[in-house]
Amino acid sequence: MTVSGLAEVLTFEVATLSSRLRTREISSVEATEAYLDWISERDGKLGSYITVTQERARTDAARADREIAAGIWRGPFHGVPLGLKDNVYTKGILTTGGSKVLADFRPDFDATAWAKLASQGAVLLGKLNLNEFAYGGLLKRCRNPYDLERFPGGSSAGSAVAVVAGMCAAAIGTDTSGSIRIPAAQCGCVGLKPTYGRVSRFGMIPLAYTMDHVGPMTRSVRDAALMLNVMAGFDESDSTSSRELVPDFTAALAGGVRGIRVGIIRELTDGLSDEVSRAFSAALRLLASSGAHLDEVSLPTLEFGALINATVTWVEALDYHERWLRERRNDYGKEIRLNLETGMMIPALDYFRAQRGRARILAEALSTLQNHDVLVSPGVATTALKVRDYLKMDEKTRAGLAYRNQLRFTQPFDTTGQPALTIPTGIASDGLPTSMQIVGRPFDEAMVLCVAASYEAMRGPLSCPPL
Amino acid sequence: MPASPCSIAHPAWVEEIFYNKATGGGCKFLVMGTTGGRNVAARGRQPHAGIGRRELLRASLLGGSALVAGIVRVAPAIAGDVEGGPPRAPRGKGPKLSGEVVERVAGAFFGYQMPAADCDTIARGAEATIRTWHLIALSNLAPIDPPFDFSLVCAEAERLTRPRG
Repeated sequence: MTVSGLAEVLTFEVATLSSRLRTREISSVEATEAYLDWISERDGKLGSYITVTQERARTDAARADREIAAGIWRGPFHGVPLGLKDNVYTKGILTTGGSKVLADFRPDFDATAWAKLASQGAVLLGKLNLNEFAYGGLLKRCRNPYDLERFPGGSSAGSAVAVVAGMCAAAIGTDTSGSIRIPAAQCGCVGLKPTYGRVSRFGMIPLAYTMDHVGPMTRSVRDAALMLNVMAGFDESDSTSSRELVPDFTAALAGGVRGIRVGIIRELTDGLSDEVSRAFSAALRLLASSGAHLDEVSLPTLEFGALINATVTWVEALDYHERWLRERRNDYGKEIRLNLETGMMIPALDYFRAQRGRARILAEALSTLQNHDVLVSPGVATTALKVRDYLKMDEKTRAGLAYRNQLRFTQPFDTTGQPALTIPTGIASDGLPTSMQIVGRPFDEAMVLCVAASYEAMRGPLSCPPL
Repeated sequence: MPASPCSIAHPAWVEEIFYNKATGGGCKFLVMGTTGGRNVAARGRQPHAGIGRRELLRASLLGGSALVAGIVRVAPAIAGDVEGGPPRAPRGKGPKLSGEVVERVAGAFFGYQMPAADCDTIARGAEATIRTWHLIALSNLAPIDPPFDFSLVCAEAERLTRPRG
């Protein structure tokens, strides 16, 4: 393949790359080397990787090429280079959680979600940057591919950046308060938080056990469906993983939205920037123009969902970190330390009440979903924030902004465990992506993906970041 | 095929459909009108009996997320010291935390020496949260069972007894 052809490989969706690998139009080694070269050239400025696993990647790719040449086809991820958030266990490979606390940690087994992809022949490019233990402050080193002066969102920041900037074909992220969907929204890729239990949490560094989700971050809805096909399913190593039937999620993609009932969440349509508003309106119009029935719905307990999310996370995160916090306090960053210390002051009674309250929020959402197939909102309220502007703000302004602009859109659906996906809706005049969130019934990722795929087809391709 | 929204230069109809102020408390998006949509949710409903949305919003600002850097430091505002804020639980009867109490609890319950600089911040944040939960509990959580499932206990017990690998 020519040099320009190899550069094009970096923009391929998994589905495209996979078909060319299968026909041996391109080899996995060629694709992998193209990714490694690009990472080496560009990641110094973007900061998406914590560890690049060159040798492992080359070994995986060579094996994939040998197997494909021998007529062995493991599936759509065979020979495809992927990145993993650095809170995903990888056997023998550094897994830091983005923290000094685990700076030298090498697990002795693979996380189930990654093991499933690896068994399909996926190539491991490396481990991706994240906020400390997915709970720390904003990442200053990792930048938005559309504008290096802006934040990428978090906590799966490296995953989103690498996918958008052509430094992996797809990535795994985790989401407890919005950590897949927020960076996907700010960087311009597809981020899917599946239903709680749909994907095994085994081998993920936990943040909040009862609300941790694992999911795909990809360049297209089809790729998210392909990845979920592999990652989903019961895992006896994770007692909370679901035995719910796993359909072929790609089968739902061509369903279209004619007759689909879409509820616009009223509480999440206020406080938007003008450009996010316009892009969201345009997205709704596209859905309506292709036959979806749209109306406005109200979920008054949404903010309660955010409070529950905060309370549960404080306590469950402390459970995991308590010993290290006591013994290695200075190895934690200030932001995560304050969150964990707050957990010490939350009475057991309040944690218990927070858990009980989750059913109330889900009941309201399910009631609304009796008359609707999906609910929609903008992914976040504004485009990505400038690092410089953020640093000028006082703490109170920063905190308020994080909630109003990002977390209020995402936290409630970690509390309810419903599937939720963010998809780019365009590029605003400041050159940054805008997005829409699509929320479904528990275990109905197929419907979420169906609506997202229909919208994506109508929207057309996004312009690439100026790299 | 409609125009792609990838460029933010949207066609004129975008302006037409977004936020129809004339409808007031009714349909927010004209697109609803064109599709015969209706708002199925009860308007003006409170999120939880007796608890105002503003109060919940403020308490939610306390954080619990990867992105909430230093969020507990906004606690005084959240705790109700904001113009137009909701009625607070009576100070004398509701929970009250000081930096000193925080330091003692951390030491006594967790064997943890809380950094002095953090104590007051943590106290304000935690007090606001506890007070909000106090109000919510007074209101009504009674009919809801906790999501702790015996089958999960059994599954976890099975997992623990299984040989690893």
